[in-house]
Amino acid sequence: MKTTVLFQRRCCQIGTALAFIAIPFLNLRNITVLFGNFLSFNMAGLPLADPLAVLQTLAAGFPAFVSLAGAGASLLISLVLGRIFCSWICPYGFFSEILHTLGKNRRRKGAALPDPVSSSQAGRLKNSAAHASACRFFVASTGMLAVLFFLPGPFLNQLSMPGWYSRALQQGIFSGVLLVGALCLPCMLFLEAVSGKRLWCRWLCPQSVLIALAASFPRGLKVRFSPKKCSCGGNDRPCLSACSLEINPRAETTVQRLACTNCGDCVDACRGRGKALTFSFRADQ
Amino acid sequence: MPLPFSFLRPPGAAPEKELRARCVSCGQCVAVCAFRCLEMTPDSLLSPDTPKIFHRRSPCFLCMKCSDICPTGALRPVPAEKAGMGMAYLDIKRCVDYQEENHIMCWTCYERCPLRGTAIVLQNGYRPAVTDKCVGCGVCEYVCPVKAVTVLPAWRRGEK
Repeated sequence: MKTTVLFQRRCCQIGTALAFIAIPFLNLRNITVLFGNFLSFNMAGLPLADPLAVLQTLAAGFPAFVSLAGAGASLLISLVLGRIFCSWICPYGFFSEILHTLGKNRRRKGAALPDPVSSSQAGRLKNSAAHASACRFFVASTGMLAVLFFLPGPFLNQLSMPGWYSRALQQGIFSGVLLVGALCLPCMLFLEAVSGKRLWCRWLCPQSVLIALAASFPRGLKVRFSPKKCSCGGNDRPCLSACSLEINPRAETTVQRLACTNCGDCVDACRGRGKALTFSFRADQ
Repeated sequence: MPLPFSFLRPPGAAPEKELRARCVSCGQCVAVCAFRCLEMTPDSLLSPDTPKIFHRRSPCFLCMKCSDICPTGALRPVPAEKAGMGMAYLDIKRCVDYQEENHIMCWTCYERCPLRGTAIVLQNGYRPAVTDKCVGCGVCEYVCPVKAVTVLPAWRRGEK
């Protein structure tokens, strides 16, 4: 049996989350093939960087070649493969998804069938995806303006959840200190568990904005919908209820593209049906 | 006057304001530090973490790996002689080599100085003295058995 996208993705996410525990320990033993964190990383000499972190140093008027190259590499990855950072790598996204799935299963225990989605609901979701993306853009741009005019350092890095995860581990392992700010991570996860929504990834994460813009390049890897193959009629939309970010995978609009993280949950949901949703670099004719 | 929470910036650090604007808290400098003397700590309650050397706990031995690796230019690659972290001051009232009555040749600072012979020299062949070649790595302050050395961090001088 072919493995689902979800299975591959979980392996990748767990691997990354564990890697960022292992890397500081390896560094302590002077094995420095991999070092750094989600804000800026060094992979055997190859730089990778959070594009927003680098943009902030640029806005302050201090460019540096290595970090620019790192940010370029990250943007190139999302240009070609979409926002795979959010869905395949980011440890916060992983925890958030796990909580979301657990919550969904608990809520659904009573109901025999997944909730059907009416077309008015689908329209509402489309709007909500637009609002969520707009909110993230607002957070990131306001933050950028604040960095540009008021703040002496790259303060938006303090809003990077994967950054907190890796920084807390680094500091805990290197100096045995608990990074107090990292407590925002469990707090946010708690809020998400209570609300049953993926609040941070959908509405707030400023780090996702630049990679979302890069990922909106039309020739990159995307979930493509071919209406001819779609065999689900009426209110039966397994792809829609599979999406944890509440996007309508059948609508290939810019709004959806800016919100989609290429997680493939809808592709998995569609696999048992008409296989109308697939990952592809070009649109189906 | 020794300051209770005195710390140094890593070698090759940009001026304080620029360092805070450039540093993205990636901690790569901490990861490569051969002597485990670097720490990332926040400058204030809400500000991002920046690298610091608490030289009284573990000083910098000028291996210069951190400044070579910094991806954002918060630390610049410089030779050890131009690390520019600060300046050591020797209190000759405390230094045992300067006390006529006890006839001790300590030389601990001189022997441990990474820039031995240029940053710390022996005056008249037996009394250690700090020259203007001192880069302020903090080793002498760390090793001095009578706490006769204090390093004035470069960032503190620039802040005035």
